[in-house]
Amino acid sequence: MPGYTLTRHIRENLPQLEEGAASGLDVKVHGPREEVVELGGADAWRIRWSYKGDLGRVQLVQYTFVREGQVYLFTYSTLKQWEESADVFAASARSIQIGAPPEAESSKAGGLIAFEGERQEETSDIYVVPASGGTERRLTRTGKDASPMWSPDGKLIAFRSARDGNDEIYVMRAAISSGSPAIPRPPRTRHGRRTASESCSRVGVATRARATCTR
Amino acid sequence: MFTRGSCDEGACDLYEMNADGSGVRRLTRGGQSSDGSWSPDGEQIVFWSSRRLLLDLSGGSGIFVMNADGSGNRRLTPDFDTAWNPDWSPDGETILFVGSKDDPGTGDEVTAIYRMNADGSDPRKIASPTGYWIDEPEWSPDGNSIAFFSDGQGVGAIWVMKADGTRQRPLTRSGDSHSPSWQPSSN
Repeated sequence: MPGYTLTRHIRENLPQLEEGAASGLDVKVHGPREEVVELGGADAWRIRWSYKGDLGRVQLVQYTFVREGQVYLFTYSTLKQWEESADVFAASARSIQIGAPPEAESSKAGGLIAFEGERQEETSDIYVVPASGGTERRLTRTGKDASPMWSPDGKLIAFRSARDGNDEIYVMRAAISSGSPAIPRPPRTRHGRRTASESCSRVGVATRARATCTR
Repeated sequence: MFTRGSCDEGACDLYEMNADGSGVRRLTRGGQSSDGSWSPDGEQIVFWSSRRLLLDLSGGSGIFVMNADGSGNRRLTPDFDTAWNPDWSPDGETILFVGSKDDPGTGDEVTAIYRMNADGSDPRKIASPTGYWIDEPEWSPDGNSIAFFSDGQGVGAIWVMKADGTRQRPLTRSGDSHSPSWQPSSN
């Protein structure tokens, strides 16, 4: 989404920000970026997106703005509307890398396959590889990410991660352009996060191995 | 949609939630259920389940289908010893899955990738890839190809093949790779 559109969204949908700007609020549009958003869902795996209805039409746009020296993250989705995150990313915002514009993203039909790669012992991350063959590309670098699943519109990838100690479902933008490095260390916002005492591990069974969660 | 719980140690069930993480709803109860896949119209869910823990001998273990609200469970693979990881085809006509059957000649259990009609009829073997562990078949968005997991080259890798099982080739070669998910074609 071009910056112009984002700016228009701000003006049309967030008049309170305009008022803030008039009184010294410094609004800066940083999107579109590659983001990871934690959705909650402790002890969860085998993620699948729905195909239709509101669940399948999620539009996720995020940007940051600065107010009184603090960087805030705003999230827009068709389900939750505009909302202000309580999280502050003052430190990480300075190192945010701007993602490729959508028109530069790979949108070739069936062009990529996302997968869980274990390139070092006891670690796993999300990778993509061209379905026609070629060089794989690493998308996450926590060593604790697994079970990727594209959203139906191809813009997001949901996945399972134990990056904060609990195995939960996350989502990230699938902004993958040629020459683009891995998704940078992402800022994060939390929606409906649930207290979780469960932990997950990968175990094998007689005829197959699968990701499972143990309490 | 996702699975919560430990299928190996007890109960696991299917859940769904809104794409923003809110509104978690439980779709299955009791026994073990996992590997859910939506039908393209969103009306049904095909999934793996084992009802043996509940001593429900009529249920058994295999591929089941239910309405999207969790009602109307029905087993689709009564003729398989075990069957798992179903994936609904993009046109909604067929379901891909991994199944195991005893070879009538040798008595050995043979695992292969199958497809069947969405009502469970006419299961046909597509391919018997090399490897001890074959799993996670996934349709390409156009339904012409299939990605899957196999350890046939000594390391777990993502493979692709044509929908008829021909032209099998590995896509990944270094380290273990699991859980393929094909990029949608409509952006």
